[in-house]
Amino acid sequence: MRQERSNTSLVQSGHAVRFDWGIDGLRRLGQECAVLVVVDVLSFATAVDMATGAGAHVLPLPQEDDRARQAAEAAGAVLAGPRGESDHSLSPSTLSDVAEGTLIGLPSPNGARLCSVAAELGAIVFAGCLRNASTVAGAAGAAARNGPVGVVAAGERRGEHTLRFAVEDVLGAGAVISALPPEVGSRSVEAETAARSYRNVSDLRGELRDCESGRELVEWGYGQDVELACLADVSAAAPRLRAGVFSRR
Amino acid sequence: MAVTVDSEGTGHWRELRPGVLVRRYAELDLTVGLVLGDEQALVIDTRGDRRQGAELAEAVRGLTRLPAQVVLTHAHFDHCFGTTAFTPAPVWSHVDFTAHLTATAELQREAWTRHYRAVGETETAAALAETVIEFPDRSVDEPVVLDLGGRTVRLFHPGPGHTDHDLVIRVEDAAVSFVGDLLENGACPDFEDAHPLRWPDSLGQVLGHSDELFVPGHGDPMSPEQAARQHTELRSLAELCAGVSRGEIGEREAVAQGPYPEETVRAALSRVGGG
Repeated sequence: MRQERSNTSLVQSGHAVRFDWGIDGLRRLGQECAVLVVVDVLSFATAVDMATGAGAHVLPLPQEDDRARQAAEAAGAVLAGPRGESDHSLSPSTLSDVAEGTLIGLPSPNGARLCSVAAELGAIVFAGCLRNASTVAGAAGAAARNGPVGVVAAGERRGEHTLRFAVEDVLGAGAVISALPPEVGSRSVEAETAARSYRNVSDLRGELRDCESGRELVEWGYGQDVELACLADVSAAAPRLRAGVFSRR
Repeated sequence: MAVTVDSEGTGHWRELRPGVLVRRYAELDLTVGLVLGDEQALVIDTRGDRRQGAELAEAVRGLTRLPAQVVLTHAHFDHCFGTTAFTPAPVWSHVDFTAHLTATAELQREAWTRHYRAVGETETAAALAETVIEFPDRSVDEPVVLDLGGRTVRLFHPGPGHTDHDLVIRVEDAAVSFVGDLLENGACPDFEDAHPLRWPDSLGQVLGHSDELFVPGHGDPMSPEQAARQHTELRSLAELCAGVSRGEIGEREAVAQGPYPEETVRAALSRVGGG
């Protein structure tokens, strides 16, 4: 492939529904898409769905440790702690019974960072996962007002600087893309491929448990989180970032 | 989508258009609103007493952490006595709202406390009796446009109608108008403080967008057709009132021809005779 590519190829121009990966993909989509859906199924977006579905609010924190603590404190948020050590953490099952109205600071180096960058680009940002795919798709489609929608698979970090393919995110993105109202418009090949992947899955639970991220969680004892994450379209939350905070509307 | 309303004093949210919600209550069949922008939220009406206002404030907090502003459609207790729960948020109303509330607040409190005691709703009566009445601190004379972040709402007074200070709140991008008691769905319009002869023209300022949803102060949101039907009824009642005041027809005839039950027609007639 040649080094210089036209903008047309960069941003899947001409299509209303676009799909890309990770932080670079998000930045490219953000050049033209006023609406960005960040899909991080295991576990950030699923955690956001559980918390907002319970009537709580989520302050995404791209940083960890002290900086996260300071940011949470400044916002009056309850800081979610490390998995297994805290009442509330990135583990979605810890967020099912959070009290209505609570603001949870949720540190997540990948998912939260994508959301922060998307917001800095000036986009309307939704956090999407399998649980809320249809609800998010409806809200994102309405918010797009005839403009393009970008769906971003977060992927998983591999080491410091590389990103690996995460099958749960391509399936989550595909679920959102499949549920976008037809009037939004045509899908890029990339978007259609993600949608087709989702449509062709016969055993969603099995694939989520057996993919790399799923195996990791099951092995660590968080199989319950995979069970929550693989339930498609059970949630009425459409977590949208408003003034830096996700709420269910 | 069906709206479920329970009898426990709590309401249910319904999203009409993205980020534009109503909350419905069994008590007086009241409808309040919430509009979400990217930076701020707008609460439309605050319910009828301290306790009810606190319930609504809590429900809003369950939906958004955005800083909120409040707008009051008019100075009848069921729409504005819950405001204390929202201060120190900015509270908007029409420029003539305060005069009406100042003149009538204690009368409204007395009359409705008596009503709730009479029907055995002693807790509601007690909550109303102890409510601290909060006055708005932002007034609307000429139309005001509020920028909530990514969306604007327009606050304007279309002219005398249900009261002399009705405020309409239009969410411009979503084509939703909150009209207070200029429209009622499921009950007759209330004429106690009304200007029956001018109400139709004032309401006419609000209608006219074909894809608009109209949120009345009581009852479910209305289509343009439903709103137009009520407009026609209000106009025919205005004509009857005018006929009576000019001595062309008698009150009994007006009642017989009126689009509403006798009590409502007589209430409208009484507002015309005295000005």
